Amino acid sequence: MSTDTGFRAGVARRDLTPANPELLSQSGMGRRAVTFGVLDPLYVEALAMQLDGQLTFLVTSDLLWILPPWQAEIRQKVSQRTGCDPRHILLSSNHTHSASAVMPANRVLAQMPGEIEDNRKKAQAAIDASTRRIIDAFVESCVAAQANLQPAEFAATSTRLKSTMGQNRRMRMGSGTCVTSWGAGPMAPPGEKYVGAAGPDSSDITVAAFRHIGAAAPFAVMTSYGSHIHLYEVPAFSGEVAGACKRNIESRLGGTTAIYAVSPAGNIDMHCVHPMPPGDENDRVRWFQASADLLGRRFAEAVVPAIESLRYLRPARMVHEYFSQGEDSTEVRRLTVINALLLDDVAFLTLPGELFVEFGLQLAAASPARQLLAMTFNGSNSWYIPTPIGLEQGSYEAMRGPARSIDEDTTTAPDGKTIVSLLSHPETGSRIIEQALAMLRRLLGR
Amino acid sequence: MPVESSNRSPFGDLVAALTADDLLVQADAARLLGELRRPESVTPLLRYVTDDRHYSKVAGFHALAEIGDRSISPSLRPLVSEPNCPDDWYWYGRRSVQTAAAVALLALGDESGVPFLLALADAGDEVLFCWYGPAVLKMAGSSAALESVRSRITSQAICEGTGRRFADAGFTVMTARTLGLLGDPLACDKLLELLSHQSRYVRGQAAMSLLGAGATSRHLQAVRNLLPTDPTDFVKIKATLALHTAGQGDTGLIAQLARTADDAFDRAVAVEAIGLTGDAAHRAEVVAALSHADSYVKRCAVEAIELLSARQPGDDSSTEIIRRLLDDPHALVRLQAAKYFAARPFEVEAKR
Repeated sequence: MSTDTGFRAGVARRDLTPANPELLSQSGMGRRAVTFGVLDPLYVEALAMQLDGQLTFLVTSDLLWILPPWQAEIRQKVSQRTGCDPRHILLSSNHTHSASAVMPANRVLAQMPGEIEDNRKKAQAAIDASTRRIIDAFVESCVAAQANLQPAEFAATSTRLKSTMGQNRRMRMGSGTCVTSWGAGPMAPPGEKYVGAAGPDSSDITVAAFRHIGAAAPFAVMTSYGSHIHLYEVPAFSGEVAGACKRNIESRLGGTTAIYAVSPAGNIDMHCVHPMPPGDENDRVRWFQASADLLGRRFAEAVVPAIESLRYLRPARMVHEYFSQGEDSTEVRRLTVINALLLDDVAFLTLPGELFVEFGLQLAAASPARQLLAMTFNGSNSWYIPTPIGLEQGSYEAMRGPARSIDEDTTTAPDGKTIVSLLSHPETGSRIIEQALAMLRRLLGR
Repeated sequence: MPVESSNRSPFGDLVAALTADDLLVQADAARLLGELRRPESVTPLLRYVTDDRHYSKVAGFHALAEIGDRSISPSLRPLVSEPNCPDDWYWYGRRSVQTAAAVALLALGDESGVPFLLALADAGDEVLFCWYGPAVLKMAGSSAALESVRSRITSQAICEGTGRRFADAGFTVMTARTLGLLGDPLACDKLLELLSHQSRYVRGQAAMSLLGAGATSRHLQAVRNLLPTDPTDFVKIKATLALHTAGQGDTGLIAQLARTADDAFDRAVAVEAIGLTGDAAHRAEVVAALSHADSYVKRCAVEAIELLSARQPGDDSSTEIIRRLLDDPHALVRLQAAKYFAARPFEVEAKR
């Protein structure tokens, strides 16, 4: 057994693709048709790190989101199997819409062979099996990453895209309001002027690389970039653009496991490859795969050169801070988790999903850390988190209006029932950012 | 020499922009060609709405309706059922393109899109009631087909509806415009309610629509109350414009905010408002805005100069500045300047 208490790291990947895709719908816009299969597998990647006997995991996944009950169970089981403090397990997903098995709609169940009710039972069994597979894959990836721990060095940097990927999808009109421009552009009412995009695009990527001591190339590369990664409409399971980014990085570097995290990007989309051309399902699949690969190449063209010039060091300090609000509730309500890890002067930070990109830029600008890798969709239970002016401007992300109070997480339905309503208040986003920055400042002793 | 004879005529630039890479450039070119109403635009606009697969081509249908060439109806008819754009069943892009085609046909006197519009009405669809409500209500004519659609867009149908129309600010602004055109007591009550909406853009439009619907003393007072109480420049500009349009109050505050508003969008809205009032006393603010750093301020300034010049012809002091905007780095500014010169082909030679 090694007596080296210095920094060690290990990585592992596990497949979490549902076993019976034909019985399920994926959670994206292809869910109206019977799923025809799997275009490319869905994965979870875990990076284990250990310093002075303290263990931590950074985990990302090809899922739409991590449901709150999943994150609780995953952290508990990983803790049981690895001895890791559950608060030191940083979870995230990359918001792949062609993932996360859901119950097919009735009309889809009707298109499947057999009776609807039988199909529903089969689908429910497949969903249950898929959920077990997801949780098991998270746990097993962490266990395997721990088993792979070896003395390691680390480096981090940031880079910028050279060609377009994520663009602001909210188009502002002369009325001051916004219309969401995803897929195939915005549609203003007759005579209305377009002002332009309502906010910034996303072009910055933060990169962390891990290599074994003395090795020439990294064994793991983690990226953090802010954009929705979905391309819409193909009824198949797929890692979409995130999968293509990972494949492109891995094919260029060789021997590396790529880990793809998403920074705040509720209003960013990769609509630069749209519109989808006319044609049949085969044409749509060809467009989908070619578009994902094109964007994957653009991503790798920015990331790989940045890695080649890195200076690696063996980290001397690894500290954590965990924050949650609503975790003690037994009801399904708003849950906010922020989980921060500092490795020397580089921060890894998990956040709720769908924060507007402006919050990510604000966080990066104000962060006391040298580099910050944000990882969203961390198992929190919340909806879009727009900026205050975004809530006034409207658009898909803000179409339900703001919450009446910062703490509101339920509303009364017309039939008098209390239902969960996770609308954002104008202060929700800034509260999260302030909390995250306070955590980072404490970790850095500032 | 008319500007059309140049290889790079402003009008030619607008037509060429229909096939630009940038969707917003395409759509804005269509909007401006619609304002110009020149028959030479019909063929390229028809190609745009037929061949392009983006939802933003809705601007092209409106432009064709503005130009009013009825001979194109047979080419538009198939687009109501097959709009040649992706099926975004989860949103309303495709439906908007279909509605744009049907509304354009109706404006051209062709009833073939009416069943589609009535189906939207039956479904309580916001695309008809809000997004296209004002266009239908303002449409000239009184045919039975037009009335069959127009009669469905009522204050009751709008106020009883659910969904986005009173939650999403973009839809609510359009709802307020529709209610303002209806102008009945139910519509006005709803507009009074919207004066305290969470969105400044809804409050501003509600003020405009309320006084546009008929300026009762109660309505005037409700809008006047916004001036000292609303914390936003946007609402102050819209409330002042609404009061001025109703014959109440001057435009001094608008001119002041055209010079001083912190937010570039608010400044643009103030400049735009000066153009809408036609108040040449504030022309200096508009001319100054032609050189503002923000592209939207510049576009609104060019538009305002056009409106002011229409009321007070012969003042070309700003023409040289606008001529320089033909080479502005921002494509939408270049288009707005091109439209300015394309509208005055025999007055201004636009050499660059």
